[in-house]
Amino acid sequence: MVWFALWTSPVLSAPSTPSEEIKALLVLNRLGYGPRPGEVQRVAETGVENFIRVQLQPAELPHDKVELLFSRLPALQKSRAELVASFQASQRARQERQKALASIPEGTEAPKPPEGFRALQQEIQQLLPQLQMAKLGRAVLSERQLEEVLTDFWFNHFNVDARKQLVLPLLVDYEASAIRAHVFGSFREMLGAVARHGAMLVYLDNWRSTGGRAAQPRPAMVMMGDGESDAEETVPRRGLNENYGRELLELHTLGVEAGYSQDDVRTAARIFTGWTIDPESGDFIFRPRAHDDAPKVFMGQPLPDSSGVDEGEHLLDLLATHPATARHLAHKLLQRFVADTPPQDYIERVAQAFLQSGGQLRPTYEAIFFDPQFFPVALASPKLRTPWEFAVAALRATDSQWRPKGALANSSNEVPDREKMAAEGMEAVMDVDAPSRNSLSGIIALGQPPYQCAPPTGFPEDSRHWASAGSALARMKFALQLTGGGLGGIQPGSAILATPVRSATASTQARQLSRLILGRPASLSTLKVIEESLAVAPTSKTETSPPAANAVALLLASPDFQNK
Amino acid sequence: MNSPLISRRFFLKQGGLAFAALGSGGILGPGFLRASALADSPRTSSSGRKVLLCVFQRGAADGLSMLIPHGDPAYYKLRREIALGAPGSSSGSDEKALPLDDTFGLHPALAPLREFYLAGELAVLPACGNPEASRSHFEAQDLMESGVGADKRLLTGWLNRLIGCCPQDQANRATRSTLRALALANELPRSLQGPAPALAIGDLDRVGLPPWPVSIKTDRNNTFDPAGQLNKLYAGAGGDLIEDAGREGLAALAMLEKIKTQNYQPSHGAEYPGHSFGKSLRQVAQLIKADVGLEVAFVQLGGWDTHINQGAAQGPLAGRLRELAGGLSAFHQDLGPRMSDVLVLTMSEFGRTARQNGNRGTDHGYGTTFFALGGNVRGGRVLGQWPGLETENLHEGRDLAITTDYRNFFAEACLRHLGLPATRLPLVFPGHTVPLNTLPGYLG
Repeated sequence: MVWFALWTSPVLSAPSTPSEEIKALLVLNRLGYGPRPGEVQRVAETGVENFIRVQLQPAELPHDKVELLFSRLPALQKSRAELVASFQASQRARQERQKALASIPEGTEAPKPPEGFRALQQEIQQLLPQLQMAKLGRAVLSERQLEEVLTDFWFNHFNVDARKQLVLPLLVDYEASAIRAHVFGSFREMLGAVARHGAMLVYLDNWRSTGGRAAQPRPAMVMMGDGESDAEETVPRRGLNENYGRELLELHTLGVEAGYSQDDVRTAARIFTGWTIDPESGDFIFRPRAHDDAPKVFMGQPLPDSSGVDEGEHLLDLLATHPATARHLAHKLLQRFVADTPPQDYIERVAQAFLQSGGQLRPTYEAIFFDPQFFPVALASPKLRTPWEFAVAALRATDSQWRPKGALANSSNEVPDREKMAAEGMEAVMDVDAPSRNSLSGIIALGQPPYQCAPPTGFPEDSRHWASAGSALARMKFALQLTGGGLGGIQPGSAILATPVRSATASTQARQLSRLILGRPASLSTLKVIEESLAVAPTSKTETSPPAANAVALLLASPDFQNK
Repeated sequence: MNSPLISRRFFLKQGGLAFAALGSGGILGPGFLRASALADSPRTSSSGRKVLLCVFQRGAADGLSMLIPHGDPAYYKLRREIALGAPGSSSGSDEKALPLDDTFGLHPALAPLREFYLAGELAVLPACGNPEASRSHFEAQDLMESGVGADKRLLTGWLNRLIGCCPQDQANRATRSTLRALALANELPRSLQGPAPALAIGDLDRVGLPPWPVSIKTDRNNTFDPAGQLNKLYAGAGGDLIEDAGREGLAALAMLEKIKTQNYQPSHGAEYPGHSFGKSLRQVAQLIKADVGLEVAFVQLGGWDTHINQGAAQGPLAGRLRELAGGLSAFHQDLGPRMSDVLVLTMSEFGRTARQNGNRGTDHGYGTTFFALGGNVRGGRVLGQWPGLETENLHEGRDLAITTDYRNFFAEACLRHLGLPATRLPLVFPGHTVPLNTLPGYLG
């Protein structure tokens, strides 16, 4: 009876109208990563509109303690300068080690690596897994779901790839200070923070774009990564690099249809010459001698003050308030939240809201979610979950927790006590300190590895891109693995996999289970398959063998769960 | 409440739009292109299903050690300690390049490939690569697998676009298309990413779904396995994208599992080397012979980034070359007469510096050596144009130049092996014009 009471008691209270539940499911799936068990009913009861308003003001939401715990990851403790210093030091140490190994005569034993060598290499190797684990943990556990989705959206919009040279140690700070800090603020400020951030300056090569009377570049600027020897990168190449200029216009602001010319791309690139970084600290530096200070005209407008860093700031001002930018951003936001091909008039309304608010993002989101077309269009336009969204949704739907190690570890079906874990300081927690290969590799195998998107376009917002045979199979595998042994230290909530009430028919159980996992009853064909799997007997006779686990696996793998 | 299905009809309509989007370097490239939208007449292969196998040497393989320019005097000046002896020289026999002609030889570790060269089945193309690539492995691999020069925007790979717009082999019409393109790798490589169906299989011997979380009592026929139930979930009427994708995936999986259980014995006495590259090639051969409709296969091999102590006749580079040749040789032997339908292309993202560095190795370069191996190859020749190793002929004064764009090398395989109509080349290599009159010439 316990299981039944835990998950169905909300139904016994005053029922919400079906349409309110349908809307609740939609907002949980679109503004967030999907409902946790019972959450659809809770949101329907407290009101969908209320939910949206609260999500738009996340400071009002209690900052979940478990979310705080991820902030104790070593990688997230260090400052940007510290991480860059460690990164450069590890690269240099690795080179020295290779040279040392190369020069020993054959047959002699390799000398031991210097003190701290291994720790340093490991620190850098653990950086990306830790960041990926933090992103996963936040997406699954945070109450501030919209903030998580928006941070993902804007990071993707201003995409950088962790594998490129100095981007990796700059990634934490990039995501936190250039992206997340601004998702409810001003687009212009986000744009400016991104333009000045070392992660973007390196990723799109602007750090080495020069014009004007560039001075002799500094010697021994170590910009390694990607296995290149220092012969390659000690001297930044002279000359204009158009990469950032082009992507700034095409991807970050105006969009490809805005009517700017190739000359404008070149002009934009020239404007940002001199915007570079100090490779030892990752700090932004403006080098006047590398800046092209000839007067410039952009899209027919002459730009004031060509001699300094302000020229770039003026261009960003222009771009951030341009109607084409408004339309471009509106289109992408609507793709993410409403439909793969949003209606033109809806795009226009959202673009107008963006412009009229002076490029403020919260009013822009309000214009999306409170538009009379939001529910009609979104409900009529299912989106396919991306691999990442699928993984997070599956973990949320199964109330998955990070299982703590050490003193708090147990193998029973006890749901881990979050408060207790918080009180114990979380040293015993999971894979926080050394993310398990299993948990992350299972996610990465789905085909959308976080922080590793090579093209500057980021992953497409059009969800149909992800419909492939390989992706479908990978999701089925993931569903079976998660409900089977869990993913490394991440385990589904034991109550989810518990044996359903024996007195209820398989058909009732199937319906209940699908409402729990999907947030709504599954399609008839899916229900039939779930019923079958609940009717078979397990081989083991012990109580700890819940056949519901098989049914949950099938629900997560079902076509119903892939669409949202 | 059932969610409305995401309709497939959209794509048939959008097929035309996708062509138009290409010119502007559209973000999605030839996205959503489906073979069915193109109303092809299928090609007919003369003797059987044509297969293209791409072997990617990741890490920038030293082309100057694969095809050794012993007749170019600058070679010995540039590589005092890591050069291979000229065929006529007094070096020990296993220290010398294997002669191909007056100018060129092959690395001794590539001895099996020399046999193919002499039999006219191997063609060699030096000084090939991407003229617009940077010297970053990650970026250059990305560009080469995307099939572009410098446009980093494409999300699709050239092999996926090729499958998407190449008429399906007529012999394949009746079979499922999901096994047309396969990578022997844990993750789908960039070259194969895109809307056309392509699968990555880490190891054919272990292909399959995980078991039930809770093992259950099954009937004797064991039909209540995960695959069986998933098949029912995805048996829908069609029209929903993910349902179709799931159905295709499960069908492909079923076929692969059937193949897996056959106890495969290589033919003609072929013995594959024990390393993972050898195993991957064996599995490609197995899949070809199983006639599942495979047309494009992809295998990769790492360890080519020889900055330090690369060695000459012996050493880390020689070891990699031995692996490469051993695997290809066994593959060739195993396939026997079927090799006439198979074309193998080797490739690497860039080459290495002409001059050795201070660590008896080489650094990132530019042009490198590509191979074409197969029954129909017009082999026994060194193709392209040798730019020479004098300083004034080196790229940026340090690297072997590029005289053949890698896309022209790939394009010949598309046109003359897989029968791609020439008009569709811009779909596979957007932004590039393939010079149809001056292709490398390994196929005619």
